Amino acid sequence: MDFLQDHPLYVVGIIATVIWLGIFGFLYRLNNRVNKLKK
Amino acid sequence: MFISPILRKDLRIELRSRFGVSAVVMFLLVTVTTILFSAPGEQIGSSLMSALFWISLFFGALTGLARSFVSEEERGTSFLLRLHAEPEQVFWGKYLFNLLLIVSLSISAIVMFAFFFRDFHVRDIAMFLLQLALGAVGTSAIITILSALVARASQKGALLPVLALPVLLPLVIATTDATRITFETTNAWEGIRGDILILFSFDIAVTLVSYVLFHLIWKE
Amino acid sequence: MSKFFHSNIYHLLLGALFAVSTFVCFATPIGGSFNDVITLKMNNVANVTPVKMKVISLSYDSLTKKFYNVTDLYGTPARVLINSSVSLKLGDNLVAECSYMPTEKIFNVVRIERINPLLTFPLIQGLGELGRNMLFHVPMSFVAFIAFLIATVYSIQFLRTKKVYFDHSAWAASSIGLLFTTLATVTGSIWARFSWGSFWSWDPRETSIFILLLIYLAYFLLRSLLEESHEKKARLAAVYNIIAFVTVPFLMFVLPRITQSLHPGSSGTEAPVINLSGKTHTDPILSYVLWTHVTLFTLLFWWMKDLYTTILRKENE
Repeated sequence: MDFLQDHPLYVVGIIATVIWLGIFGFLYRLNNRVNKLKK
Repeated sequence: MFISPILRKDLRIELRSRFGVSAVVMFLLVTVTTILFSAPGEQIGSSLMSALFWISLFFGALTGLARSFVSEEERGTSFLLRLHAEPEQVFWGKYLFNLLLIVSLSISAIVMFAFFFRDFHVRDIAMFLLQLALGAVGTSAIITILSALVARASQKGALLPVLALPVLLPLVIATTDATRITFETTNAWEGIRGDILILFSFDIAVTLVSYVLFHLIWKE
Repeated sequence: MSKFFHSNIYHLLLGALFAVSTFVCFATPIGGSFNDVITLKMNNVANVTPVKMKVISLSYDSLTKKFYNVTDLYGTPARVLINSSVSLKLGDNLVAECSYMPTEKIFNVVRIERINPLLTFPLIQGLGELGRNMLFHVPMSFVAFIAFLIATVYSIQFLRTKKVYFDHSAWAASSIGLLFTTLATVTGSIWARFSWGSFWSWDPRETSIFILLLIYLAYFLLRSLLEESHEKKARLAAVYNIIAFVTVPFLMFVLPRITQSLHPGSSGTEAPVINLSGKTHTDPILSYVLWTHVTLFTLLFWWMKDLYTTILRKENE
């Protein structure tokens, strides 16, 4: 945590990563539903 | 607007059995007792006092007011109500009845809190009553429309608190803040002006929306 | 026209714009004023602060040390000492981390960030590099609001026309709104840990976003717990959606602004992005990037909503 406190740019990186992981996770679940439909 | 028959009917049933008021008063008594037992002799500050007061009020309202539509379903009279009355009449009748219930709930709460808690001092009475009234109106509107919604569902039980509490929370925030300030100063207007404005606009918005949407829930 | 918005080119374009925008968010240097250096040093916040400055003239030149006369982004003149072999021309723009030497009244350049940057972001005192979060965290809550607004519009349309398409669209939009609200909460919490000290402190702004989560979670709970006909379920859910949206402006825009909070825009502070005075307190470049990001995420939301709506339609046929 100290490392992050001293390097705030990494915190911004983590936040951006969390956002994109969240969005892609949601899309991944939608994709699974599409595949189930196609079966 | 011809709303009085429904209101009169509910009032007459209430006066006969006193179910609603007694349930509400019992709930308050139990709540106050629980608080007293769990914190005997504790000094309760103004923000905690305000929170306890409104928790008792909101949960009391949830238990007491939910019955208004559920009882109709249980007794099987909702079908007749649909036949004989316009949805607007049903809405205003139920809404006003719930409002009266909340008023009696508030009065009982004030009496009990003042009697049992030595830290319950209202410094600015006029402002206290104002925000209490506004909170009551908003709570009544929300619980009326949502209990109507839940009553149409086949399982009523736990659904009402789940739906109503989050929607009521903005009201809780404004009223607990306002009450806290009326506990602290005799000239509370400056401090609670924002809260009063929020309560007022929230009440208008919610009552309007409830009135407009009610017939969509009510019809078969 | 509609064909384009469903084409692969559009998706690729959106993705490319996102990549560019994210790159700009990270690569653009942050530069403040000399005043910031002094203020932050006096308040014991930071000894070294990045400053954006423009070279006016060379004051003294030795092999290792160079003194320059510069003006910062507000036009404040100062002398800076650069201890490196980098040579700057007149009129060069420079973003460098500076410390203040009060006895000599000059600023010492500790590290040069960028020479002649294309863009710079302003420094927000107390935030520094964390200020870049504004370009990610704020768009999340904006798009959440837009998502909930669209969901309510669809709910109203469903109640008016009874077309199932609108019910599915409201469902999809609310779901994505919930996603963005969660992301806003999580990113806000991470930001709070490194800016205010703890991940969660029931600050009024944090509390109201949490309440928003509860309200829309209740929407999905209602949808799953009701055991009625499809039409009735949809009707009741649409009514709840509209009631829920009544609370949203209060929770997102009104309540956090009148209560005391650490979050910018609370009572006593000036909200940097949306406020009543019309002009924002944000630097125009920051505004442009912010609103570009909001637009891009809104387009992403729209695509996700359309996708989800189609899935719901096929699942419930």
